[in-house]
Parts: sequence; C-alpha cells; structure tokens
Amino acid sequence: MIQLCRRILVPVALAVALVVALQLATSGAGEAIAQEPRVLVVLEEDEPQSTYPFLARTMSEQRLAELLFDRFFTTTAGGDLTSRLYEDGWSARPPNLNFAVREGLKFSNGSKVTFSDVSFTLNDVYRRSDVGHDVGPWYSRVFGDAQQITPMHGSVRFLVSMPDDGAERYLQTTVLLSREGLTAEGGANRPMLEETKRKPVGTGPFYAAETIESFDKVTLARNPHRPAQVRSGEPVGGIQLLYDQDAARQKELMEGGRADIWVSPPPAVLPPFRNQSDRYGIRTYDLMQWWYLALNHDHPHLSNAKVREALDAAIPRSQLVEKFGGDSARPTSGPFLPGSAWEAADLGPTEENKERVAELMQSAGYSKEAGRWLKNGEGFTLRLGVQADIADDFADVLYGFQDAWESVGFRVRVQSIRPSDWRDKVERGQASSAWDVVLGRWNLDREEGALDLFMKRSGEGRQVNLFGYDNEEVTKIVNDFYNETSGPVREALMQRLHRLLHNDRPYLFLWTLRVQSIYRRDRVTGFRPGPFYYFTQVDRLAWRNSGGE
Amino acid sequence: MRSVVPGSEARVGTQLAAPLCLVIAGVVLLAAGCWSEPDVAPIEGPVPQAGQIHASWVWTSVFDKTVDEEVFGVAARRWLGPATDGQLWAAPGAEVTSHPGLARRLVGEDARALGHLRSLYLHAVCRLGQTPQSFGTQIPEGFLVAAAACEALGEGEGMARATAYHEAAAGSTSDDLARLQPRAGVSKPGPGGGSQADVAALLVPKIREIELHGQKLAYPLLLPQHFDQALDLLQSQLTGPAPGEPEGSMTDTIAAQVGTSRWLAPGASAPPGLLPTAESLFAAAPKGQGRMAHLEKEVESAIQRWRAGLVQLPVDGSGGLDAAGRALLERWFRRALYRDLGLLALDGGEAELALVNLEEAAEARGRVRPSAGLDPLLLIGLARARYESNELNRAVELLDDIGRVPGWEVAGHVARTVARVAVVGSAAEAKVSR
Repeated sequence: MIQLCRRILVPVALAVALVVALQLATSGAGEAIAQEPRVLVVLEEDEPQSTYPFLARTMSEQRLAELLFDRFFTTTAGGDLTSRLYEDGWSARPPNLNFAVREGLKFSNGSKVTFSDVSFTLNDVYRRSDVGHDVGPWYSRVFGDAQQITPMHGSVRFLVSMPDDGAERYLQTTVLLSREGLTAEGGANRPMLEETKRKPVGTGPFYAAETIESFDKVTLARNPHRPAQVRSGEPVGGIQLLYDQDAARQKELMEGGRADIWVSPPPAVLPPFRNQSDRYGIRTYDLMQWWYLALNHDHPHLSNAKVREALDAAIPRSQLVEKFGGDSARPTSGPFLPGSAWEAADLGPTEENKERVAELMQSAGYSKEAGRWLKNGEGFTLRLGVQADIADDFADVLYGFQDAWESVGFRVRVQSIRPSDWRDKVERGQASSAWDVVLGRWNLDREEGALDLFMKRSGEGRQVNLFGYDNEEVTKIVNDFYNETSGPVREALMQRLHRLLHNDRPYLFLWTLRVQSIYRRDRVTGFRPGPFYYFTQVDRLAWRNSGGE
Repeated sequence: MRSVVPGSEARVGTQLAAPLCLVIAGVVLLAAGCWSEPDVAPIEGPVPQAGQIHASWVWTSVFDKTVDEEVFGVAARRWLGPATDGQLWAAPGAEVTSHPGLARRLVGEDARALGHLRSLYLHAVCRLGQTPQSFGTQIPEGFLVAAAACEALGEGEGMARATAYHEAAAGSTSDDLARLQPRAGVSKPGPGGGSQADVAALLVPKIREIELHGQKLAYPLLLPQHFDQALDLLQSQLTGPAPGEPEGSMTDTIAAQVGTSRWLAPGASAPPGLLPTAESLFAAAPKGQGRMAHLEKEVESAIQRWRAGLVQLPVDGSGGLDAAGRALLERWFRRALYRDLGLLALDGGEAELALVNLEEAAEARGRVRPSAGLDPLLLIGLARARYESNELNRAVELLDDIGRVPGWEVAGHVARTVARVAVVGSAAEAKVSR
C-alpha cells in the first residue's frame, strides 16, 4: 500500500505542486513566501507574560528575554567575564566601575547605543521601585547613579563595599534597554514597560519584527544589526517559540518533524529520542532545579513541627524519583543541592518511614480513626496546590504524593495552580487563602538565589517566600552571611541554614532534576544550551545543511 | 492547554481558484500521509563494505574466536559495556589482566586520567587562591596550596597573589609546606604476587578541619606533588621493556585498539575517509569559528556511513548481524569516535568541544557515573571538560560519583575544591525562577 502510494500519489502530488509553484512564482505572494527565512521551532514551557527579564517569573520568560536583550556582562565558557556591549578594558576605580559602549553597537531598530541608554537602564528602570518590577530595592541598595561622561563612556557607582576583583559580576543579570524605545515622546518620566512588551527593543540576537499578538506563539526574526557568528552557510534567521502545550503534544510535534528543539522534556520521554541518535541529539541544560512542597506554617495543623515531619516521612522519595527515569532525579535534604559546598553533607534526604509517621502524629496528640488522623475529634484535609505544568506533565508523581499521604491517614485535595493564579495569588502573598501546601519547583542560577525564598517578606511586589515563612534565626543567618566575607564562615553559615531549614521544614525538600533538551541533530548545528542562561550561544546556531555554525 | 501547530496559517496565492485549491490540498495531504519524513537523511560519502567492517576491532572483538576471553572481558567492562560482572573500575594502576599489552594500555590510560584530574584540581585551587575570601583567615595554608598550584601551572601572577593573601591571612603564624607533602612512595603485593603500585595511597590529602557556627568543615589540601608522585609511580610501570607493536595476534590488536577510533589492525587499510579516525577528523576541521559545527557534521556523517555499512550485512549466517547486533556495534563505533575526539579536544585546550564530544560518548544521560563501558579516562576527561566549560555543579556531581569508587577517592577531594569555587560569591544579584 505504501509502495502504491509512493509510486502513484507522490508523483501526482509533485506534479500538482509544480503547477502551484509556477502559479505562485508569477504572483506577489510567491515572492513573499520565498523570502521568508527558515524558522527554527522551539518547544517551550509556560506562556510568557512579559518580554523583559526583570519581570520574568518563569524560565520560559527568562529565555525569551535572552533572545531579545544582552546582559551587561556574561560568563564565558571558561568562567571569565566578558561583554558584548562594552569595550574590553573596563576598569574599577572604587567606588566606580567605568566602561565604554562598543563602537557601532545598535539596537534592533537601528538606533545607535550610547551611554545614555546605560544610565537610563540603571537609573530609570532598574533602580526604581515604582515601575512594576521587584528588583528596585536591590539595585538601589547596591548602586548609586550611573553617570554618562562622554557620549559612549561613563561610570556606575557602588554604594556597597566594592569587590577588589570582579565588580562587574554585580551586573551579570542586568540587560541593556533603549531609552528611546521605552520613553514616550515628550519625555514622560516612566519607562513604558507594559506598553512596549509586545515589541521590545534590545540588542539581543533576535527581535520582534512584528508586534507579538499572542504569547502562546512568539515569532522572532534575527536582529539585522547584529552579525551572526556563523563561518559560512545559513544562520538561523528566525525563531518560533511555542508555549503552553502538554508533553504529549510536544512529543508529537517533535516526532512529526514540526519542531527543532524541545527545551525541557520530561525525562521519561527521552529514551526513544536517545535511541534515534541519527536524528535527535540530547544536550544537558545545566540548571539548579529543585522540587519542593511548601508548607504553610500558619495552618492550624502544619504549625506543629511533628505534623510537618510526619508528612515528610510519609514521602517515598526513592520510589518517586524512579518515575523520572534514567537517573535524572536525586533526592535532596535542603535548599542546597547534593555536592554543594553549602549542603550539610552529613544530612540525608528524609527517608520514608511509616512507623515514624504514626509515632509523630500520636505524640502530637492525634489519633487515627477510620484510617484518618483526628485531633480533638476533628479531622483535616490538606489543600495541595500544584504548579499547572507539573500537574500536566508529571501526573504520576503528583498522584504518588497523594497516595503516599492518603495511605498513612492524611486527607489531601489536589488543585492545579494556573500561571495567572500563581502571579496574582501566590506571588502576592495570598497562597494561604487557597492552599495549605504547594508543590512546585525552583530554578536558580546560583546557590545564593535560594536565600530569598526564606527571608521575611518586605513590601509589596513579587514574593518568592510562598507562605511568608518567618524565622528569626534564619533571618539572622542570612544577614550574617551578607555581612561576612570569609569563605569558611559563609560556608558554615550556609550549612547551618541548610540544616535548620531541613529540620524546620518551611518546605519539604524533594529532589533536584537534571534537565536535558532534545534537538534535531540532522537539522541544526552549533546547539549548546548555556548554564541557566539557555540561549547564550544562540548566535552560533545554523542549519545543518548549510555547513555553517 | 492550547495546542499550536506551526505553519498552520500558510499563505497561498489569492488568485488561485478555490476548487483547484481543494483538489491540490486533497492530493497533497493523501501523499503526505503515505510519505512521511524519511527516517534517515541521505548518506554522504563512501559506505564501508562487509570486508572492511569485518576487519575492524568493532567486529573482531566479538566475533573473532581467537580473541582471548579475558582480554575481551576486561575491554567490555572498561570501554564497551554493557557488562555487569566483576568490578567495574579497578584502582589506578591495579593489575587486572595478565595480557602485557592490555595491562600497559590500562596503566597508560589511568595515568592520562590522573593527569586530567591533576590539571582540574590545580586550576580550581589556584582559582580559589585569587580571592582573599576563599580561605579567609581560617585556612591560611589554603593559600599556600593555591600558590603551589599556580606555580605548577606556570601562573606567576596567581602565585604571587595567593602568596600575598597567605601572608595577610597567616599573620605571625608560620605554615610549612613540608607538613602538607605526600608520604613517600609505597607499594603493595599485587594479585600475581608481584609488587603493585599503590597509587591511591599517594593521593591522600591532608585534611584541615575547623568548626565554625557549630558546623564542622573539612578542607582537603593536596599539593601538585601528590599527583606528581602518583603519576611517577604509574610511569614507572610503563618504563619496563615495551611489548612492542602487536605481534599480529587478534588478541594483541584488540588489547591495543578496542574502544578507540583506530578501527583496523596494523597493516590493514581502508580508502581515505572511509573509516576516519578522530585524529584525521580533528586535524581536518577548520580552526576558529565553525569548528564545532564542522566536526559535528563530519562525525555524524561517519557514523551514518558506518550504520549504512552494518545495514548492508546479511541478518543471519556467517558475517551477518541482526538488529540488536547492529545497534550494539553502532553504539561502540559512536562512543569510540566521540570519546577520542573529546579527549583530543581536551588535550588541545578546547574545553567546549571536548565537553560536547565527551557527553556524546557518555551517551548524554541525565547522570553520568562510573559504569560498564564508561571508563576512568572518559569520565575524568568529562569532569574536566565540564569544569573548564564552567559547568561546575555538574563537574562536582561526576567527581563525587567517581570518588566513591575504591582507589579513586581523590576525585571526591577534588570535588570539594570545585564545589568551593562554585560558591565563592559576591553577593551579586542571583536569579530564581519558577
């Protein structure tokens, strides 16, 4: 049947296609199609809400921003700092860091970059606390005014003790913004972040040639003012990012040849792709990702440390990590990952122990009736909120928790947390109104990122301390850490923190997951995700049949 | 959840008549249903023939009955996999075979692996010595070790800086490098009754322990001499009379070449480019921009041609191969080529190139660790490539796993040093995302 199809229908189809091609070649539409660059299709995660990195809450927002903007300084593969934006030879004259914008650098709209854009970026966007992001307090604590000295040269002033070496590390997460692109004509004193997010202007490798109408599919064109680092052949001229699809659909798209890169496939789907090594390649995405169950310590039952420990001891971590397959997940004991210098290495992940669960609950004054824990005759049900993507793609893991807890006498009701609810409730400090426990995952660029998760809330804006955990000892340790410079003392403080959080359980620490991306090896070359900053080397990506990088 | 199919809004010429469009769409869709994307891209270049495949170690190691079982067993555990019996990794320099050629090769590769570990450690500890925070005032001798490491690497400025930090941290107390020196060379009885180098015993660091904020911290302090003495001991096992070139027996050839990209026995040859070695591909790749992509393409092309050659073999009978056999032989070919390329890149200082090739050789698994077919040279090379590519946490994970293998404990100490490099912090803004 297949042979018949190929022998008869394919030639017919080709003949018809030839006729169509001739028709189109004589029309304007034909020209338009022929000129469109070949687009690299990337399967992403959650739908983004913004294109600006300082507003990014998810890794998919973070990655989208990488394509549009350049960070002030980046780390090379060898660990040194480099910059696409500034001339080599930047210098530190405490308290100032001086640098000059690279000659000829342009934004994607063709306008020339000057130091005025640098000072605008820091003074009028990053250091402000009234423009919709939550990085203002940190920037205004660390940096004073950025001052333009000549059109291309200027300085950034440090308000904190400036490191002897590597002060530019403080600017590794900052991206360059365009004064012209973010300021209304007439000079309104507020960067137009919301108004411009669908057509932002940056110096990144790609840009939104047309307004992004829908964030479930974002198409970007190569920035014409930035040369691709391709020796020969055809660089990737456009990228299409597809969001918010479940893993089954993504697998279908990948296998059907309709996608070129799948950023974060569930580890369990990898084996068949790994076995087709002629077509697919797999590259590790070096990301500090860890999974957790956050507990509301103000909950009438979860406020009891014994109940928290009982819930922890009921989790069959070693069984659940098997569901990820391929040794992809490793249980953790606290906020710092196995192998980290800050992990208290003598502390293991909590072992499953059902006898211990019963012992703890009884000693906390609970009794078991009809398979359910009661206190003073009353039972309770835990409302478990789950990040939507986890609920969609890792349902078996989720049910594993539910089964484990139900089997030892805890009642659990599971609810998916949509991204909009995460933004509007969880990050606004309202999580406890809807959920008692939250299952989620964090991705960190460095260990230090974990500290924010446990610090007392301050002010409005985005919060990552999900249930407002407040522990004086933790706060003191973190403050001491920031006031300390000695490596051994810092290490000891962090190990102490790790141990304390393990025991106090603001989270039940679950596991770290190794993320691996799938790409079409037979189509593209030069693909290597950077640690945390995925698209750092996207300039080197090229179509394989072109012979370039 | 929404689903979006790319290209679903393809534009068509507006002047085409609607009925014609429908007919075309029907025919094209029907044809597309029958003819999905081809499984294999067109093959570029010559495909090895049966005789050439049969002459390669990839074939003879399994099918040549003259190959010594013991040699094949060791080779399978060390480079090929999957094999599960016996100890997966022997201690460096340990005697695991009576075949002199294979024994020599094992020692040579152990020495190369330790050399990579030495290099990784020296770079990491020298890097720590460049900032006064790393050892603080609590571990002043850490700066001495860092200075020695920088010196061994020829990093004069780094050495001076670490020395200055040592002076500032040590104050009036005096540290003595002699206290940190490794103990003298030792040997222990080998399985055959002879003396076997106890390399691992030379790689035991001085552990400096302190207690701060109720936490016990341990700093392993290794000097370059620790590694140098161990390497000398391994070299001494190589300085005896060399067994010379393989004498022509298939066992000798397998011992010398299995797991490498030297596919054919000495004296056998194939047309240029037919069965490329890593050396030939590496040398032919253009320097600078585009090198990685060029190599990626050439290696995959070589693998594709090898696969096509295997497919041409009959599925049964003498000289034939079934599907499982094809998959296995393709896997060995792929691993050997990527492994050799990665090691060449590492020796040439091209860490990123080394990283992608060695990850491929290790089959790009979620967590790579010592197991059958993943040998010490490959994995320690990979750990070094990760370190040099600034993937420090992944380097630590692998080194920790290697350090759990008896005889390779030193890798665990190196892991602790790299872990400290990863957290020498600045209190700069850190990112956390959902």
